[in-house]
Amino acid sequence: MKQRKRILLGLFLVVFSIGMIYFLNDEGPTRILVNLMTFAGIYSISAIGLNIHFGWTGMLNFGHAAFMGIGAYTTILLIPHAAGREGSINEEGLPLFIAIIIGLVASALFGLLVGLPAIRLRGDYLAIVTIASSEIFRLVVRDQENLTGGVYGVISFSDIFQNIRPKFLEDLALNLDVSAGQLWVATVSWLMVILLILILKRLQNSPWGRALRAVREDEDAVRALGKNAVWLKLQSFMLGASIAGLSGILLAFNYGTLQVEYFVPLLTFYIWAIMILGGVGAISGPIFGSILFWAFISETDQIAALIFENADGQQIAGVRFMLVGLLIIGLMILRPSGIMGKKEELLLDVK
Amino acid sequence: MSNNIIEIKNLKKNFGGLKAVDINNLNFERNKIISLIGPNGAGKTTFFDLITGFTKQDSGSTFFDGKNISNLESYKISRLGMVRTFQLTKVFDRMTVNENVLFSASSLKNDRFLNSLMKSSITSNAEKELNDKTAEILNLVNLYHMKDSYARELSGGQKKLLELARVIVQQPKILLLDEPLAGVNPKLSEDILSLIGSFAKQGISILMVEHNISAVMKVSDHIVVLAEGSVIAEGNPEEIRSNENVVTAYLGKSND
Repeated sequence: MKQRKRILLGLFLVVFSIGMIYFLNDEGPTRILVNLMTFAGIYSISAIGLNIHFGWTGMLNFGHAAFMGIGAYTTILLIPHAAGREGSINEEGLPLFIAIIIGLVASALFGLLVGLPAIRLRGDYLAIVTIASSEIFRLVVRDQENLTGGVYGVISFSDIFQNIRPKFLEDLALNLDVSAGQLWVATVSWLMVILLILILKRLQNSPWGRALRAVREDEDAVRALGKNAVWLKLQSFMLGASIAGLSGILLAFNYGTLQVEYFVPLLTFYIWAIMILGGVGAISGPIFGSILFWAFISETDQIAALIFENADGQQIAGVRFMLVGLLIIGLMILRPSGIMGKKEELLLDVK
Repeated sequence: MSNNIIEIKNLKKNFGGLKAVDINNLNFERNKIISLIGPNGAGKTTFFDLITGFTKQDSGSTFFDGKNISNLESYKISRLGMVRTFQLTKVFDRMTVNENVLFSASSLKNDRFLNSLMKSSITSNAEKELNDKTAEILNLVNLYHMKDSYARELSGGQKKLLELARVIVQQPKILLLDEPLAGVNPKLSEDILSLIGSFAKQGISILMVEHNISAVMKVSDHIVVLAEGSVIAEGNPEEIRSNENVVTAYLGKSND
């Protein structure tokens, strides 16, 4: 399939799923749409990071949630915030921009920390180590209440981010009857998605990107040709981790609170689902994947309600997972390479 | 500078109780085509793995071009100019033929993350030059018409050619070929042998493991015979042909 056809297919699916939202919701479809697009933007960023790990370099990273979490916690704890049960506000903090940079670096360093011992492992062994390290991160954060707020989380940190919100967004939010705060997070997220796509377009066919793909194909051959495969994998791990960190930071600002339970392994698997839906290895895959994924998630409630009469919230939540599973199974049968992926570069046969 | 490109002393490797390689003293001369033969399980591939750093040696020392490379990492050995191929071809399947060679030809500086991110004019000029270079090499091995195909679409023999193109583009000092003719049809075998001959004429030393004895006898300047991890004979093709140890190693001892 040609690139144009793939884009058309992606656009069709996006328009179709957004249309479904308007069709299935009589009340406040715009609000649902803005909510959906915010999450879609944030998860796109994360899936772009994962795509570098898996799609470009072939590394099975199942600990992506931890990279998001490290970025979020580092940045949020460096700006004014209130943490823990007491919740007393810590007024001192770094400027937002600097805190974000430090957060991104922290994510990259955590990637290096996990990567150094683990990167020589191949395939599923790396997957086991990464999922374990992400759980270790989550449990340590939950345990260190003095620093991270533990199970009580972190609150009151959004002001510094919302204060730089441009005026016109507020008028727009008022017109659309949506939350101005969320609209701002959505705007920043999608600007970041565009920026990242531009950067990755540059990298993908560059000598560096080519070297990553060679590592994905055959590490021994890379070493035999005089290239340091371990260092290339570490670089890829760090870049992807810091992109995930950015998405974690935006996730925290979107919720307005920071809870350690955001970063459960389920988050990692959502990101995987998005990457696979969009097309492994395709730069713009995560965008289509995440919009489709979130549209589907938000529509499943209505679909479930259509199928089962009198279903309560918990039952619907169960049905939601089944439907997401069906979506992925269906797509894998019809288009195993995802929406934007090339059939010739199908990556799901991991060594 | 010594006339030997590789000098090996007391190289030993055991896998558990199995003695895989045990070589007391072995030197390879510069600018020669040298073949390594021996029955299956003689330790030929292990020997390749040891001197190229893919397997850690138990003891002994290896000198390449006068430099001690024992225990050096494989990619560093390769950077010194000793480049190998594999028994089972390892082309980058989901990259194009041209990209396979470009990757190999690209300099370490060119590969750097920041250079790629900034896409400086130096990098893009370097890429243009690389493309000229790979076109030349692909023409040489007769794969230019396939340059934009994915490598996995190539036939087995073409993959062997691509592997040759990928190593020769680096202009190494010595080329280690692990069964370059395995599974290749006779016509293509001829082509590959003449390519190997032309590399040797350019001053590249060749060390190859090969089971096709008639081809080995035809092209080699020097033959080393391994059996059970040790060198049992070496010499020019004539000497090897008439060596009784070699016949015994291949065919077994006669009973009378």
